[in-house]
Amino acid sequence: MTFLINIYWLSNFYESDILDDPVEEKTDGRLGKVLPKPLPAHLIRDVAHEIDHHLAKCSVSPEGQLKPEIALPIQNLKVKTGEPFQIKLSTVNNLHETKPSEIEDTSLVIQVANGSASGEYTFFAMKAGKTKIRLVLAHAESLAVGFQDVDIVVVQNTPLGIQGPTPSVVRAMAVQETQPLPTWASENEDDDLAQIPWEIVCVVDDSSSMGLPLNGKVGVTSPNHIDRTRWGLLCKVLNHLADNIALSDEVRLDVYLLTSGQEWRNIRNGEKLLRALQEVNIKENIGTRRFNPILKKLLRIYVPELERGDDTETGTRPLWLIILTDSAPHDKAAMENDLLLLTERLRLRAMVKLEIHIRIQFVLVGENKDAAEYFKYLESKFGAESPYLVSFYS
Amino acid sequence: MASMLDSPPPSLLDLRSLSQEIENMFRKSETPTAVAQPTWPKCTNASLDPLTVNALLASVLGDDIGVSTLHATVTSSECRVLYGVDKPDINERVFIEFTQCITSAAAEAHMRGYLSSFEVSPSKVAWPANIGAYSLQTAQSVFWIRDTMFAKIFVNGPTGI
Repeated sequence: MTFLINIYWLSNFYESDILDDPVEEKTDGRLGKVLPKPLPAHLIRDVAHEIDHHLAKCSVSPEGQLKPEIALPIQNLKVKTGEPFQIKLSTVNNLHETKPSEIEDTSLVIQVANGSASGEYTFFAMKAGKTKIRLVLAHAESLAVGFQDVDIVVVQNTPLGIQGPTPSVVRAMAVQETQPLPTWASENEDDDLAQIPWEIVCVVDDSSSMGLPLNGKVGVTSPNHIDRTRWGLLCKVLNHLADNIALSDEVRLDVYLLTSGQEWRNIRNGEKLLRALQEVNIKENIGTRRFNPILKKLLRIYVPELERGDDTETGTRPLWLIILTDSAPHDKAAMENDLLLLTERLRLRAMVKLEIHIRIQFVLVGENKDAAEYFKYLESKFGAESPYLVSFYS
Repeated sequence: MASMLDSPPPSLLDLRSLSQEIENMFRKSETPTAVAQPTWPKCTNASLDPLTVNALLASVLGDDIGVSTLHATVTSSECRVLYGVDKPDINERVFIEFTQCITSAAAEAHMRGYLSSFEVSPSKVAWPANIGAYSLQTAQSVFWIRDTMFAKIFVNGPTGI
């Protein structure tokens, strides 16, 4: 049941005869301009009469009233916790743009957007259980209301199967060295951040263009001089980063390759990571550079973990996603949509006082100006929403 | 405001008399011609989108008006929209609010509720407007029920919307 409470109050009542007569026209003495005046009271009555006449002309029986057409392809839906979901009407003719819902149990599901012109309702599933969602609609012209109920079953989300070294193997790889964190990873950050037990996840662009020299000019660097290529630089940086992270038991590092799909989790040895990266044949990785699939996959793995806060093996860690690439993605719209959904989820969690720290950092390797412009745009778009959510470094 | 805070909370007797006054005022607001109208339930199919409202109001206020949707609330029992009407040579904004209810009884409850929100006794500031089924007007507002619709027109509108 929904209770709506509206509070109105009226003030400054005047005797009707004060405003019944048109107010004398006043002019600005200096400019001779006619000043705005109050609305004469008789005009309010005239407006009311005009509207009532319009209403009376269109009186019909309840059966004849124009009701919103509601056509839903589903009556029940199974969704997973920690994920947004949409219910879309198949008929959207003459519907009022405001499309709220009435949710039986708002601890399980919440609506995250007030409907859309194309008839979509967007929700977010928070807890496992069963509830009912009433999709409410109004006719755009007659304002008559209607609704459709959908039964929702929310099931516990299971993170995707993780491949790569098992925890025991990872522990065997661990080494201890003492070097500071690379400056690119900590620049412009609060000093306190170094103390945070981050889960650092690097998404590394391993497409063939990474084999080009740092300045982008083909032929300047021979394949033998891999250190001078973008890939060579990345390998060194990740080697350095992994060695430094191994110093701390708190911070973890996972690496995912964008194109070949290889992944290593909880890396504790920079040298081994370097050797693994050097074995990647980036020349074969020709194709489009899509960040959306890997971003979606990573958010599915890590964000529910953060939201549940019950990662007993490692403890819950804030997520620092670093995307290292030499170009802008080909699937910009899809990636931005994912970031938008993530922002919405974080905002909702913040509303229920559940702070989840996620930051996404794009690191540009090389001198691609268009890509730099694009990542700056992303930073301004999502960074403004949440200062640390998206940032850019080149 | 100070006087409101200083005054004691209304007693049960005050509330009962207020309730009685609202009921009396509501009865008084009934349009005489409406009594003779058929009693079966009626609704409206009148188009009340901003464009239609603009066209309706232009015939009274002039062509230079602008109608904008300020607020909309849709629940499974009602749809309420608030339009703002601006006119360059008028220094007040006119507000029009439509509440399309499921039943006429719900619309009547809205009107009673609106009357109860008056800071002063409704009988001192409102009088019948003779439109729709029930209607009242004040110096700066007109509100009435037509079928399942509760409509309000006012200037210097409620603060805080």
